[in-house]
Amino acid sequence: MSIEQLINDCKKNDIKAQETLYRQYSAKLFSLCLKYSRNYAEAQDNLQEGFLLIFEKIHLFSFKGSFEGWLKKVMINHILQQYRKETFLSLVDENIKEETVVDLEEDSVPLDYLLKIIQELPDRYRLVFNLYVMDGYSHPEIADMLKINIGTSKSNLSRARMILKEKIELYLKKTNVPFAK
Amino acid sequence: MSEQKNIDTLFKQAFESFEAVPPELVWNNIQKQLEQKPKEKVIPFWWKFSGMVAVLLIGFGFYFVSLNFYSTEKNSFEKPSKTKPLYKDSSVSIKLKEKIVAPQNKESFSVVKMPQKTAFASLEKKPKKKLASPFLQTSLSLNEDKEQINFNTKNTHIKENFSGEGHPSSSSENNTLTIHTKKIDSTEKTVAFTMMGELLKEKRLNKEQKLNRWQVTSSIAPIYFSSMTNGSPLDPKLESNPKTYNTSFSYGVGINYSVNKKIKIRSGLNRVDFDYNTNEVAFYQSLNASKIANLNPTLQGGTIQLEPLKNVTSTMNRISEGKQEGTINQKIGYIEMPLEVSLEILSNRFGIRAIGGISGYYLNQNEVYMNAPLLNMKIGEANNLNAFHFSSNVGLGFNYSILKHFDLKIEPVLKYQINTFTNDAGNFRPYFFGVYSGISYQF
Repeated sequence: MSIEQLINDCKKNDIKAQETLYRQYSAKLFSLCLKYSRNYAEAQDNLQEGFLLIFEKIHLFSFKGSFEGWLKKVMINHILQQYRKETFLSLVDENIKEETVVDLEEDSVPLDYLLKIIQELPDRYRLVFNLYVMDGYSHPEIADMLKINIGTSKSNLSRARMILKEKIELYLKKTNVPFAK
Repeated sequence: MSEQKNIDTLFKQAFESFEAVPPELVWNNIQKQLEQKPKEKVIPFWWKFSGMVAVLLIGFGFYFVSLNFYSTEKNSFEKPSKTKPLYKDSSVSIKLKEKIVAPQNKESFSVVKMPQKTAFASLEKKPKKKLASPFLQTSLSLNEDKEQINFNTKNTHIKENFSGEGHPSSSSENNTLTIHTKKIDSTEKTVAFTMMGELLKEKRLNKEQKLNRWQVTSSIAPIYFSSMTNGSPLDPKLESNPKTYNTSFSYGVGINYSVNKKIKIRSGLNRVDFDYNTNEVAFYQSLNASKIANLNPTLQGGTIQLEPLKNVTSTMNRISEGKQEGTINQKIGYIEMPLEVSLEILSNRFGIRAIGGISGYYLNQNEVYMNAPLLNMKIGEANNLNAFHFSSNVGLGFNYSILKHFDLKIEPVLKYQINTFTNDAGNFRPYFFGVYSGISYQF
């Protein structure tokens, strides 16, 4: 079955088509949820609610652009919406020194750990980092999506990088792996 | 800078092909909710229609009850009143024929055939008139007189004949005489009957006219909202955007007053909602968004910058500029008070009438929403809606009497909005078409 056919069947609320679609994209979208959420359980919730939203809104997908891109966008927006509800976005923003240098070329850090430290980031740092680094949004776009200033977005990003760097260094120290310059 | 990128690329590369299969529980939950959702959606849909269905069912219930009711009523009431006059008619005509036959027999002997014939001819005509006309008494008494006069003349003629001719003719004349007297008796009786009947009927008519001036109605109507032109009352920018008008419902109660048999004045209270979408809108959030022309925005709505999708050259551009595609949904609700006149065109058990008038509308709902794949956000309320406005109404009404006091009715009415908007309606000239159906009760 072509993806167009599958989408059209989903538009008709065909449960079998919906399951096929879920099976096809859930792994990709779950990885996204894991990165954007605080923990595994929250990622599950987000995946579940996000998919329900996808099925609800799928009739609006007009075959312009990539379907996967659309799915990701719906999912990201759904997750952001959750945080908007929590109004953390009104956090007082600190003006941090930018341009934190991260000396790291090592990629021997396991994925699980990387994911863990992303999830441990404060909510907004995590969102900004994910939006900017993982999904290629620009600072103005992020500022728009999170209703923050562009400057805040930038400083959040560098702060996130710093925290991540510290945690990676800590991990490498613990495991006694010297990291090259 | 290069090191900074390092941490970015480290994560990017690490997660590039990262996929995580979610636990099966997630799909089970989704499936459960998906299976529930259509049911949930069906319920409000049925709620909307259940009213109409109930009205129809009750209507049909009344109809079948009334069928029985009517048939028993006919047996007890109409049959006697209808058949009796028929009976009378036939009896009279039979007798008249006898009469005519009698003189024809006479023709051979009597000289007086001509006056007799004319007299009978007059007799033949007049009783028929009697039965048809409501002015019974006078015409009857006149007829009776005439008959008697004829009688007298006949008698004289007979006497003449009697004197002029022999016994056989006289005996035949006597026969006809007796027939005549009998006939007059019977017509008198029938006349009395018809008089009684007519009087009763008149009484009934008077009663009906006096009692049935007031009528209460309930109605529900699907409302087809639209605009004569493709404008936008929200913002001139959106004038050429395609609009979709959603079908909504109006429901309410009404009261009718019969000025006379043909003309009724109608009023009442209806709740009516309109709801339409402005499609193909590109939007994004920006702190210095330019204001939507006729909108008092909410806090969130104030940050929405929109433009027609056709101004965005391609989807790629739209996405790269961070613009989303969506629709603007405007909901307007009113309490409607119609003031209409209806004129009966046909008023049997099935009736047709023409309806014309005006309605006043009091604004009680005013909301504008932005709808996008991820968003259903109230962005404000229109600031160019009049708190009170009018429409001119034209329509046709059909009703079907299901019981003595109950009518089923269906009334397609077009309502053209006159001053919905305060100033600039953006070339938007709304009207709506409603098919009002319901039951009316006549006191």
